[in-house]
Formats: sequence, structure tokens, C-alpha cells
Amino acid sequence: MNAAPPALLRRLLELALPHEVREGIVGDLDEVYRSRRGTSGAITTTLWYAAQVLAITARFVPERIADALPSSLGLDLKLSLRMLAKYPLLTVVGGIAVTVATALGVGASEFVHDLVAPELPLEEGERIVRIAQIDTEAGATVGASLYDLAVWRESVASLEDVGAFATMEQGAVSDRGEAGTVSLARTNASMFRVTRVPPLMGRVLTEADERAEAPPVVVLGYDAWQTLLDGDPDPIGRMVELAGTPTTVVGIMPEGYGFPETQNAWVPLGVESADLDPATSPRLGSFARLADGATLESARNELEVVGRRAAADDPELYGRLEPRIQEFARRAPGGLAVLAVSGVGIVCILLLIVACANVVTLAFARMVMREGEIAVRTSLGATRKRIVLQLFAEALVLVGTATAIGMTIAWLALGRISRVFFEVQQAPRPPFWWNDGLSATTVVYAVILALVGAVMIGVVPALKATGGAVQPRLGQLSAGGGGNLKLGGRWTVLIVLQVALSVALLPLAVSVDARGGLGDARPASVLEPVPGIGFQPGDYVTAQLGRDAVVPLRTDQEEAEFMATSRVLFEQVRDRLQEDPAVQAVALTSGLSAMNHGGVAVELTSAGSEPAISGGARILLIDRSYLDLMDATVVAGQPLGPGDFAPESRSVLVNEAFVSNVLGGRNAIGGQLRFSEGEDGAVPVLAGGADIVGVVSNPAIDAYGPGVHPVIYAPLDLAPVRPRDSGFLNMPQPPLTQIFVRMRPGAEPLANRLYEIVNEVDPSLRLTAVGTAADAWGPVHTGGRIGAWILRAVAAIVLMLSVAGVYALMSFTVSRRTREIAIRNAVGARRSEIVSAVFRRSAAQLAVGVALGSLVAVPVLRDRVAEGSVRSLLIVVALLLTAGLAACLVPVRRALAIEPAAAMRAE
Amino acid sequence: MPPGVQGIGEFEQMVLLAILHVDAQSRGEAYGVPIVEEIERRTGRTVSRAAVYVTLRRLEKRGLVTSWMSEPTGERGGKARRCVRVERAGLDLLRESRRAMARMWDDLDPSIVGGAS
Repeated sequence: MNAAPPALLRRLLELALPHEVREGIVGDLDEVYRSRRGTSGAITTTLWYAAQVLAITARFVPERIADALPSSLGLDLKLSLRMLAKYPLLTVVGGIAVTVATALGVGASEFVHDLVAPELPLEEGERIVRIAQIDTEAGATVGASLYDLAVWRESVASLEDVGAFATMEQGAVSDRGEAGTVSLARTNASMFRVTRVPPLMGRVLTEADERAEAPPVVVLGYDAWQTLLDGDPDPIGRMVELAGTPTTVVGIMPEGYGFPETQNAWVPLGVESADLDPATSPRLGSFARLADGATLESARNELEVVGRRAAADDPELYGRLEPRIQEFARRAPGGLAVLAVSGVGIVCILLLIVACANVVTLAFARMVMREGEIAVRTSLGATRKRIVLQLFAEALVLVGTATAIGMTIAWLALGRISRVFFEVQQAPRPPFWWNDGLSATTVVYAVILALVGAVMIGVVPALKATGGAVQPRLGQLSAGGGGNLKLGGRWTVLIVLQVALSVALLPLAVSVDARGGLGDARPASVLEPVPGIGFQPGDYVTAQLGRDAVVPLRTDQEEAEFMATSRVLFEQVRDRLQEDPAVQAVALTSGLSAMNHGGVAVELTSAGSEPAISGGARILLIDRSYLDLMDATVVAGQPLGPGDFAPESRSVLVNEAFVSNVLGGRNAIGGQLRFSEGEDGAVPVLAGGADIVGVVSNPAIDAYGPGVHPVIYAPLDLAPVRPRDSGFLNMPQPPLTQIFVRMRPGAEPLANRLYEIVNEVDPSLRLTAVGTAADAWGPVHTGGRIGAWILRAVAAIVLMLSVAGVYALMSFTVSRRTREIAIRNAVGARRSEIVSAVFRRSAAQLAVGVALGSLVAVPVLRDRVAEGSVRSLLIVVALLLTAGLAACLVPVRRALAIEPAAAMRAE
Repeated sequence: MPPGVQGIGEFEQMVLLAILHVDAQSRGEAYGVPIVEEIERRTGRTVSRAAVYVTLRRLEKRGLVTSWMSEPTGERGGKARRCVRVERAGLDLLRESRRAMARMWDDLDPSIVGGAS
């Protein structure tokens, strides 16, 4: 029987076996295959053969790898280092490109991953879920009511330990007088079962603690234990006063535990039977764990059924609500995060495209330079495999080192960047799952990319360079011509693309950055934040004053009463501060100018028939003293009078920057403003519109310097100081106001006094973020500086890569014409003609590249012109042209120096 | 066994013994296929060919067997056989292993020895 095993399997077997045993083993299997096929049939025998091939491959391949490594690895590495040192320009430029690409890619992906789809560092953390009701008409999350949770607990078998929580910042005083603020969670005891983390000391909350008659207890987080109880080794049983209620510490959680977000103290939720009325039940955050065997999908299906049933039973309440379940920490990031991440992402991608184009260019260029060496080595007996492996090793050393450096940079930078990110977001600390390190997935991903990169840079060009016979290559090289890498027109395409990409993308990258966000007309100079022109930041003390409901608020009336009481207490704090001898003036606002108050799209219709003007501005709610405190004067119209602070008032002021940037200098007085919804569906504070009654000079105090932001000043009516409906955590926030205090010159520091006053007014008030205006705006400046630094450094590096890439390409492409130039010289062509021919062609390539790139860059820059972008476009073009033309000089001179006789003889 | 000389495992012994058996039957033509068959026939167990080939290679590296290529044959798709022969060192180690095993059985209670047979 002549039947042979399947060729593919046989080939695989041959590849797996070492040379010395290959023939014997392949022959053995052929022999058995033939004899078995006669008795067992083709299919069975083929399956048997495949199993044999797999088994033999599995046994011999590792052995072959182990055999191969010790003998050649050391030598390959040594040669690699020597070759990398021999071409320092290419090594440095290529290395930097890979480093930058890795640092940006790894850093950005890790950051976004942690932000949007983090992994909870808890046992089976991916099975912990969050459920909320979605208002399908408004597209907004409305949370889950305690009633809903009770229903889900009963009727959704895929979920267990369904529970609720509410979070708040809460002032706390220990029994030994240590005071501070804790991030408190009121929660069901099932939370600790869901998270499966045992306490470090004492116990966690139990269902018994949740009963109304149970004594108040608290479980503290590790850092609250350290700060509030001063790390007392025997903390169990100690008392802590929370919002005026003496509470017993029953447990301490281990370091790093902060469920559900950033919490470091947990008390029972305090559910009453009245809370279970579907209409008035408070809406809270929720958590649950997927039951054994259940999946997110099965839970989703069950919830859908329950949701439909509820909608059928009570269409008025549940008609537009839809329960939605998702992994607990997974979220779509809120407005600012999306803006930051997408902005940085766009810039990174633009820059990475340029960097990658350069690495590929350099890889080919390097191979051209080494063609001669490769041909000689081949002729001396080196196998193709040996040469390819050697070149792969070189690429791996280069890419591996650069990847390691890039990952280290990303790792070092991530901690700093995320700290600033959360400071700007005014989160008390990052969520407990936040991880500044690099995840294993990211590291594996980067290592795989490095290997792929090494193959692309080392193996692909090497295979191309080592193909074909040796003799002709040696002949071509000795005659001074090109070798095996016949790229012809592709060189021209590469050069044109290289130049076009650099011209198109580099100025755009700078321009994206300079445009900034929120529709503000920020000039490019925003990259250099002006620290408080015209005022001494140290003269101003600022803090956030907030108040939390001790029990969840059930009805609108309860909420209104709570807000009204809060307003009175906030005003009492202001009045008490005003009496302090160190204080010159005090004001309350909705936020810190330029930080935590919203930017909105605004449309202005004037009294006349002019068409509406659209633009972007920030709204700051202010009390009567704020503008005086900031030394801002009314330059047109009138100030806000007492009547303007009534709840039904529509009067607002705008600053001069609003008039110049949004209105283009037109008259603002009497204009009517309308506000559109934010991207996240948030309705701005002045939903009903407003009338401009006056224009004020740009207040001197602003995070970015006076007059950078168009601002609308609306009267602060403290009762509707709304819960912040956005922010990183997308959680409902309690009422909050920003206190501004202007100190008398040379006054004593105020911070301690401020705490005392707040505590005296009411212990349920809490004071956070106390500091000078300079402290408060610090993160903005640091964030801006870090962002500007990263972008400039990356842009500079990419520009350097582009210039080096174009230089290398031009230089190589002219080198390849050495023989042609020498022959033309030999047959009597004038040198000036030869030189001008070479330069003409190079200049044409560069010009086409610049023109193509400008086609993309110029319209965009003209649309949103920023002076820096035009300048950077000109710099990029000038540098590329200079590098390209300079690169032609050396090879042309070398070619012209070849003796005419030698050139002709070679031909 | 001299000190410092590594012993041989059970599977290595089987392969060496199979070579000797095949050698005796076919006068110097012991190669992969009959060696596998011999082990399977005598032990009644299915043997992994991959394990046999890896073992043969290892034994050759240790100098316990030597190999040479025969003439190519048509029934093997024009491939030659890789024939093997047990060297003196291999024989010595086999004998030593057998003696060591016998000494381990010595002096055991007859009921145990009998139960094993």
C-alpha cells in the first residue's frame, strides 16, 4: 500500500524533530501508518497519526528550545549589544519611539481600564453587582428604592445578599477628643457577606445591629482607626461621636478595604417599616452577589420579568422605570472623566501613529545599511535561520529594553496622575479598588506587543534581506548599488507618507490640547497657568461646608426641611466667621471658581432682532458679598440687589470675559439666557433661563487667572443648593457650599478657628478641603502642568523621531543611487547637473509630503486657530525640509568621489 | 554501580531490554517500530511512541546505546531506519539494576514475595 500520512501533519512532525532523529522517527511513523491503514481504515489511522504527531511534538519541542538556548543565547545577546552600539542613532531613536509608545499605551489603557472597568480586589469580585432603576424616558439613573430592593431580594433567585447603602462625609469626634471627617456608609449588614472580607479586629455589622432598638455601633476602616483613634491597639468598645450621636466601635476593617467606594466607616442603614412604601421609600445605592451558578445574564432576565410585573401593577410609578444590573465597579465615567480621557486618548493616538510610522521606517532603513554585512555572513556559511535569529535577538534586546523603560515610566506616572485626577474631582480619596500599579493583563499585553514588535522590526526585514542567492547580492554590493531590498517606488511612498503624517498630525496634536474643554475659548497660554494675578492666594481661606442627613430623607417635604435647616446653619457659620477679628469678609458660593461648578452651553437672545448667540460659560452661584470680596466692580448695568436673591429671581451678572469671548463685545445688558441640558442629561441650575442685569470686571481670583473663563454669576439661594448630580462617583451628594474668607493682612491662621466655629454651630455640619485659595487651586495647576509637560515632551520626541526618520529615509534612498550617480559622473555628466537632479527629486518628495499633510492640517487650524499651532506647523515643516535635504548631501558626495574607472568596471 | 554514575529508570530498562530482545530476534535491526511492539507485547501495556523516542535519544546521549542509519526502504516512504544497539555500559547498568532490585526482594516474607508473583 502506497498511502502516505497527511502532508501537513508530516511537515509539522519534521519541524518538531531535531535533525539527527528526524528521518528515523518520520520513517517509523510512515511504516506504522501504512500497515495500520490496511487494517484500521484511513480515518482511524489518520487520527492515530495526528495523535502521535502531537505527542511527539509536545515531547521534543521543549527539549529543542532548551538545547538551543544555552549555546547561542549568550552569543546572540553579546552580538546584539555590539550591533546596537554600532548604530547609535537608530538605536536611540527607535528605542525612544518604542519607550514613548509603550509608556503612553500602557499608561492610558491602565488608567482608562481602572476608571471604566476595574476589577474589585475582593474574592470573586466580578460576581458583586449593582442594581439601579433607570428612568427610560429621561435616560437617567434614579437609584433603587428600599422597596425595590426588598422585592428583588424576594423574587430574584440569581441574586443573594441584596442590600442598600448611602454614603456621606461625616464629622466625627473620638472619646479622647480626636476630631476628623470619616467617609461614612450607612449599609445593610449583608454588605460584609457580599465582600467576604473578615475584620482585622472585633466584628462586622450584623442584622441585630440594624434593629431600631439596637445601640448605635460603627465599624471603622484602617485609616479612620489610625487617625480618629490614633491607632489605639485596643479600639473595640471605644466611643466615637458621629453627627452628635455617641457610637460604639465594634470592629476595624483591614487596610485597603473601602466598600462601596472610598468609605472608612460603616454604620447600620436604619431601615424602618415605613421605608418600604413604594412611593416614599428612599432611593439608595445597592449591592448584591450573584448566587452560585447564576450569571449576570440570568439575573438580568429575572430582573426584567420583575420590572415588567411592577410596571403592570403600578404603571404610574414603574411605567418608565427599568431595573438595570451591572458589575459593581463598572461604570461609564462622568462628564469630566470622559473629556479628560477622550482628549488625552485622541492626542495619544495621533502621536502614536507618527511614532509607529517612524519605527517601521527605521527598521527598513537599518536593514538596508546591513545588507552588505548579511550577504558576507551568508557567504561565510551562516544559515538563513542563524541570521534571522540574530536579527530577532537584536530587535528583542532593543524593543524589550524600551518596553521595560516605557512600562516603568507609565507605572511611576500613573500614581501621580491619578492622585491629581482625584484631587481635581474633589473625591476624598481614590476608590478602594484603584490600583496605581500595572495589572498583570497590561504587562502580558505589553510583553506580547514587544514580541510582535521585535518580529516586525527584526524578523520581517531580515527574511526579506536574506532571501535569494548570495552571489548576485555580493556582486551588487561590491559595485556600490543596492542589494536585495528592492523597494523602488515604495521608498518614495514611505518618504511622502512620513512627511505628510508628521505635518498633518503634530500641529493638530498641539492644537487639540490648546483648545481645551467645555467650549471655553482658552488661549494656548492656558498651558502656563497664571497663578492668581492681582491677588495673594494666601489672603484667602476657602473650605467646603456640607451637611448630611442622619437618616435617609423620604419625602420631598423632608428634603425641603432639611435643606432649609442646612441653609440657616450655613448662614450662621458665615455670620460667626464675619465676627472674627482676623476676617475681613466672608462669602458663600456654590463652588470653587473654575473647579467644581458646571460648564454649560448657553444661548443668548437680545432685546433687539439680532440672531441668538451661542457659547459656553460656567455658572457660579454667589451670595451678596462674593463680588466685593473678590474686588470685582460693576462695569455696566447694575449689581444684584436684595430683590434679586428671591427664589423666583431670574437676574444674573456676567463677567467681562463673557462679553468679550461669548458675545464678541456686544451689549449684554437686557439679554436673555437660555441653557441647554448637559451631555449627561443634567439640567443646569437656572433651567428656566435668566436675564443679564449687569456686567462685572473679571474677578482677580480665578484658578487660571482673571478673565480666562466666561462666568455667569447667579444668586445663591441656599435652599436649592442642589445635590451635585454629577462628579466622578455619580452619587447623590448632600447640600454643600463653598466658604470664601478674605483674611485681614497679617492675621493669624484661621483653619483651627474655622473647625471650632463649625462644630459650635452644629455638630452635623462637616468641614472639608480647608486651605488657602492657592491650596485649593493647586491640583488644577498641577494637573495642567503635568498635562502640558506630557504633551510637550511627547510632541518633541515625536518630532525628533520624524526628523530622524525622514533623515534616515532620504539618506538611504540617495545611497541606493550611488552606482547610478557614479556612472553618470563617469560618462561625463556635469556634477552640478547630477547634484541638482538628486536634490530635485528629494525636494519634490518632501514637497508632496508637506502639501498632503497641509491639506489635513491647515483647514483644521484655520477653523480653530491657535497661534501656537500655526507656529508649530511651520517649525515641523522647516525641520523636516532641512533634515531631508541635509540627508542627501553625504551620500551624493560619496558617490561623486568614486573613481569613474571603478564605476565602469563594476558595471 | 560506581559512585557518581546515574542509575536508570524502569522505562529505560524496558527500552534497553526490548532492544536486546529485538536484536536477538532480527540480528541487529532494532529500531523504533519493533522496540515499541516488543514492549507492548511483553508488558501488555500500550506505550507512548514519543516516550520511547525521547528515551532512546537520552540513552544515546548517555552512551548506553549507539545508533546508525540503515538503507532507505520503500515501505517507509524512502526513509532510512535508525537502528540502535545496546553498548557495554548499558548492559552493565541493566545488570546492576536487576541485581539491586533482586537485593530489594531478598529476605522479604515469602507471603509478600508470593503475592507479588
